[in-house]
Amino acid sequence: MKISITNVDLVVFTREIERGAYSPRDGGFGGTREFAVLTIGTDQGVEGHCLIGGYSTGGTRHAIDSIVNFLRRELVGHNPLSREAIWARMWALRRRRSLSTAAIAGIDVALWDIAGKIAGLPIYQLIGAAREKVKTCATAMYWEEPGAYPENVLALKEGNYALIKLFPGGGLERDIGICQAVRKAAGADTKLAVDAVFAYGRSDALRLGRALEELDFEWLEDALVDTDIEGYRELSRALDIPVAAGDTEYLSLETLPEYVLRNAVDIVRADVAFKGGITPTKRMADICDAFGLRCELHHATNASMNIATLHVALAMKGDTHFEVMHPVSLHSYGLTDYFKVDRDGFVQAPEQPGLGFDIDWDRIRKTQTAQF
Amino acid sequence: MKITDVTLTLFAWDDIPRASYGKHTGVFGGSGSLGLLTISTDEGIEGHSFLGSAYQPAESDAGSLIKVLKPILMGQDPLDRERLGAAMHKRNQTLHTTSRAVGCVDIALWDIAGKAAGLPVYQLLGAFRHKAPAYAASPVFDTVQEYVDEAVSCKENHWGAYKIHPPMLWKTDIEVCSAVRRAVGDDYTLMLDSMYGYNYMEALRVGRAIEEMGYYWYEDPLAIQDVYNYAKLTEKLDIPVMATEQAPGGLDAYAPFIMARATDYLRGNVRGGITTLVRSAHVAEAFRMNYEVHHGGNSLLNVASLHVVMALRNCEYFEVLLPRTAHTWGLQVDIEIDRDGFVHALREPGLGAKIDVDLIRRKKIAVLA
Repeated sequence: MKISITNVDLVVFTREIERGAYSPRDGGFGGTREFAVLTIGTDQGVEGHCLIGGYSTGGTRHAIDSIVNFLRRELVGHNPLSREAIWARMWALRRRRSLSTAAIAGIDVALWDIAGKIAGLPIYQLIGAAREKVKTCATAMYWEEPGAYPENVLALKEGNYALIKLFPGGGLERDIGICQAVRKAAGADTKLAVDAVFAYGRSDALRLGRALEELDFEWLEDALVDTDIEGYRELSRALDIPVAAGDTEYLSLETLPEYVLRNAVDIVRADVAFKGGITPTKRMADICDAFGLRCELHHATNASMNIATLHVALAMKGDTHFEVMHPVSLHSYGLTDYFKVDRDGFVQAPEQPGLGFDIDWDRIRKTQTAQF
Repeated sequence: MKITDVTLTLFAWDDIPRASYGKHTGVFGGSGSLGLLTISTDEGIEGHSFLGSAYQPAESDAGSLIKVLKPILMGQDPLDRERLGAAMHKRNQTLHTTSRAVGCVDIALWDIAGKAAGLPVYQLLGAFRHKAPAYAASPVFDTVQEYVDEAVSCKENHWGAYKIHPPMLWKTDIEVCSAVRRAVGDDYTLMLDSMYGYNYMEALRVGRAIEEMGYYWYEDPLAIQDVYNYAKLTEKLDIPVMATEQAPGGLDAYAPFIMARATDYLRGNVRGGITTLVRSAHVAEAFRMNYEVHHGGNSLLNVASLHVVMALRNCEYFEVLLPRTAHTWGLQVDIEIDRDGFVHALREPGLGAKIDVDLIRRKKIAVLA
């Protein structure tokens, strides 16, 4: 099909984020933050959209600069269906030009949105549907007060999530204490996991892992700093409990082979925002497939990216949870509608073409600050 | 959308040219058969694929396709390619069917998806390019002169490169490679495909010889699963070694080769389906390896390969196996190689190939349903 990109536009807006934290060491998040809506328009009239920016991560201005000054010219005049050529080019420019991964991700998602609309199919069916619904993992916040965890988990249990994931905060005694209390309160049948947000050194990570094995937790995530591939190798070889890693840009399609070649992890974390789009995320899932590794999709910074990650989850051969961070209001902003977790803890496949959800222009225009 | 029927029309092929691609095909020619797979849907869209080749009659896989795979497909949404693929692969793993049958179905499902979307398969995949260079791959000849004549003819007819399927005696093979190199000159791209035929020392000798002659890649010198010796050979040679074209076990076949550093390039065949082909090419790409796509074995599978080649960054060439008449049966129009040695993307929705319905009707042997 002959179709050409005519324009790449950004609408910048602000929103108020409620305060929260996933770790005591990273300053928490909250306050007034900038986001943007990326629009890619074509000569056939069909448009693709993606939100840019994260409620707990930075880089919106970096993304805007990357798009306006470098990536826009790689797109205008090109066929939006040539996704492979476009993504390869953007990724090749990324480090050389210090470009934003979120910008590349936003562009890739918008291109998939266009492809889905042209085809009249939701993205997951374009990729090839593996399932019509996906089970969920509920991830709660970090609480300063250890006593808050069991109470929080009991409230989450009402949602029938397949898994509940904790941010205990780091600190061996505290974390083990929290996990013991949560296991006691939730009972033996609740599936639990821990995300350590890179808090540990190698020996304490091993001790924590052993403790979680006793408590029958499902996995230990991001125990070590993500660049410590050798450390992850030692940890995953020593522990029976699956060792997961990859909640930042560092574990990408480019670096995944290093983890694979060194048998460093049991579970690879991937999401559309941090990995640079649907295109690389799907490939990471395929690599996991080829090596019999698990891929667990990660929450992805904003509403568009989460929906895009949902599409990948519905098309993945391997079994993954779809991660739902709490409170949901943190990441549901910017679309007129959002996914819902049903009474059995599943999220159903979107039905409309492309991403399947529309930008909430009315709300966004109210706090618009700039346009590019 | 729901699948309403799955039928296989076996049709005869009477004038297959006499040729050989080595021990694994023997000398073939004369009569054979292909199968037209038709997957029908309640929205009127039909997906097609061909089963079989000049040296593998369609009957080989037809039975299990209908008996084992059809029940998995009936009443299902053809866009559930991943889910249906997973179910079909399970039956292949337990040897109830073949990867050729599973691949044939997968390709027909992509044809449906492309037609439903109004897009050619390569754009559904996400296009990387709209044209690609083609190389001609020889049959096995009895004399050195026949290789020389064909190589020179290919060069004069603007083929981008020429790949030799040698007689499979290592000393003769070096002679053939040497004679061809002398005939076409130093600048023309040549490859050698030794079809799993050597032991380690023979492979090393031939590899060193063709390195000196500037050959572009060295394909399948050792037995298909010989990961152990492939690792040694790949480390020793500068010329890129390419194994894994058969990939028994589909996507699972590649991990051992990657972990053992047993090959420089990976390879695959659309006979196992478009889905597995694209995934394994992406795995190769992440590990910084080229993935050269094997020819499809029949005219419609070659069209499927063409779509995949247009969507891959890490595949350099489109393969055309000679003689062409051993691979051009069943379509009204076959893939064209332009005057500069390039093949071009097909733009019609789905596979976008015009099936020769009249020919199939005239040559019909049976319809399995």
